[in-house]
Amino acid sequence: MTSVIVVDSEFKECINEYGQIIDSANEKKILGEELNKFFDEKTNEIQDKEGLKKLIYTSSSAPVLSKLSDKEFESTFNLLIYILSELEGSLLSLFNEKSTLVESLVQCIPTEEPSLRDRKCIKATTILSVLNTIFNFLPETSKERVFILSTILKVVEQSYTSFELIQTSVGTQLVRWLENAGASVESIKQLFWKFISLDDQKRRETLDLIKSFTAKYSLTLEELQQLIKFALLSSTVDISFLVNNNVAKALQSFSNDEYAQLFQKYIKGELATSVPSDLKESQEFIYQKSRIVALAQFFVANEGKGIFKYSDIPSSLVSSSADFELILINSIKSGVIEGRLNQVEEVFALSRVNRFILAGDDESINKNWASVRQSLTEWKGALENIEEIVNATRENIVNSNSD
Amino acid sequence: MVSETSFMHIVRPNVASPANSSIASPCKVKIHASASFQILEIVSKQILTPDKRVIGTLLGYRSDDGTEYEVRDVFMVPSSETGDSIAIDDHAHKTLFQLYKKAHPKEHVLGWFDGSKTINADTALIHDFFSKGSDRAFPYPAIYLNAKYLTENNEVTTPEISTYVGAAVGKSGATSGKVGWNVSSSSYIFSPVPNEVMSGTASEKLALNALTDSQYSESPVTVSATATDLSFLSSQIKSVTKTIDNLLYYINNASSSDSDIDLLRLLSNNLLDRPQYLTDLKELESHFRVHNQDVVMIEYLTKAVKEQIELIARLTASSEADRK
Repeated sequence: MTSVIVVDSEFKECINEYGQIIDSANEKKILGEELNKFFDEKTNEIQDKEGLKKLIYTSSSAPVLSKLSDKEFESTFNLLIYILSELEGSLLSLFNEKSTLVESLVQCIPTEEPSLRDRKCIKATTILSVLNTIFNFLPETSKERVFILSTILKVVEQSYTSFELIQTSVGTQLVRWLENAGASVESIKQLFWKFISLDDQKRRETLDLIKSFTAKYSLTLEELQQLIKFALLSSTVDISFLVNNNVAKALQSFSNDEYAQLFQKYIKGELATSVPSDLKESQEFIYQKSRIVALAQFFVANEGKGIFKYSDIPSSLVSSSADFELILINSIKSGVIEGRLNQVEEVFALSRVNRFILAGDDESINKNWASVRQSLTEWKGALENIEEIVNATRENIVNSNSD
Repeated sequence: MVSETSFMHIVRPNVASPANSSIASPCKVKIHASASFQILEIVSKQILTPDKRVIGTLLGYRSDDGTEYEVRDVFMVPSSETGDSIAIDDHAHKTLFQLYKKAHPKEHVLGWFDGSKTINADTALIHDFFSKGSDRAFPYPAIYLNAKYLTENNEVTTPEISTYVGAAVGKSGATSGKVGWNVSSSSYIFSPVPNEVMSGTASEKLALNALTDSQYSESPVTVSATATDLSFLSSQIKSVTKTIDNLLYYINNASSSDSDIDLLRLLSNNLLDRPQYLTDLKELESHFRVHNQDVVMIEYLTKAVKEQIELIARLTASSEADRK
């Protein structure tokens, strides 16, 4: 399913229409008349195709197109795509890496954020919409799709567009589109990590994308460092899910790297005590997250207990009762721990805590599989008797009502 | 979960309609399961006359900014194609819509649908019909739904539902025509937009599940949400037990692959901290009994209060009768 263009007019009418729009933007009546000269007056056939093409290209430069209002821009560009595709004979030749059309389009990105009152100014989302349409024109296996995708990322980077706009619409399918378009592994990796770097808020959904990507592609040291930086600076506390087999291998290969060492400490629930110089600004934030993970790891280690007194918590994790309450609330907010806090009696009843399952740690994995197996068997046993209980209770009610 | 698609949809393209929102946001179409069945039923007639287009109107809700559509109902519109022109029975469309509007005053015409194999000039003409004029999608942009189920050789295949918006081409994109501009052409870029088939109510979901479960069975399907016996509970318990058995079997042969570690993570984080009484049969039984006693008590109290109210009403009526 791709975009389809349907034009209900003669080609000459389209050329005239385009000439009128550009003349109106330039506030001069020149292009329309010049374009008309390329057509035979009687038969309406094109006399000099190359000359017409050249004129269309020169009249569609970025300074001219930028004069159009936001509302006019997209539809005019759509018409321009139609005209040039008819003149070139195919759409593919219009959108390769040397495409002047795409170059002009990118040059139309506003350099400054438009004010709320400036309704006519071309918006970056309009440029994205045109690129979106171009992408959909191209067949799934066409190499040009790789170029358009990299242009889209460039536009988002240069403009003031929110990452949310491309997070799901591009992020979830970026790798598959690139693979289908026959992009090389290097170019897939480069575009993916470029996409990740655009997320300034380090969202959880982006972490999920990293996870699925690293499951498929191995990591270099730079890529591992980018992953670690992104994960540590994101608001998600439990980032153990990022450790799949490829990440575990990379952590092992680059175990001397200070980012890898910090990450290993963090996901194992050990308190982080120092951070690389790059992360100095966010040092306190990372330490705070690390304390939550360490507390959760403490609860996992004492899972049979269920109820914890404030005094049970090691002093290395919390300095005072108030500090413990604060860290507990933060842990509950981050979804790592669930439970009830009794401030009067100073106890915490734990109902759920995240297990930090890490690929490569076979001992812990086997232990957790055994616990899950036992839990499932118990659940199955309980289910077998539920029907009996319900039936018995039902009979009891009927009997007691009839008495 | 986001479905795999070959198309991209970042923002809705610029469409030529007065109520078109200036805020750039993505567009989404939700189709109710009942409406999708109706669409398939209507377009299935296409097989009888492969050269003749079968079309219909989409009805339902849309958001004020025109980015979210909910197709709740549809009806067929008679049409005939002759050469380059197409005649749509406007009168039938209007009458059926007015009738529908009486029962559903808050719903609108959202667009149209067909089962055509290709998008061509006729598609643009029909889209133009549904985009302009009263009792149609105007002033909002119309959506086009294509339910393709015939191959190039007219062989029936699994239906593929695609939804499109008609992006403006040329002058029609401008909000107000400039002096000397004649904007009457029906040129569009049909841009794909994501869609999802949704089930609205619990009974619809039950019916859909029953249909999916019995798709290979020859016996007729019966779904009842008001069963008085416990057969439904029993079948559900059996199905959960079977799933647990499958899971246990899988776990016994689990490897250290990424997907298995993800499964372990999911199960560990959700299973290991369940309340103890779920596996303690005696405690579960006592909890259930206590719960039932509570329900019986509430029923008894409700009955008592109701009787009291009735008694008061009777006493008041008789005392008033005595006064007279």
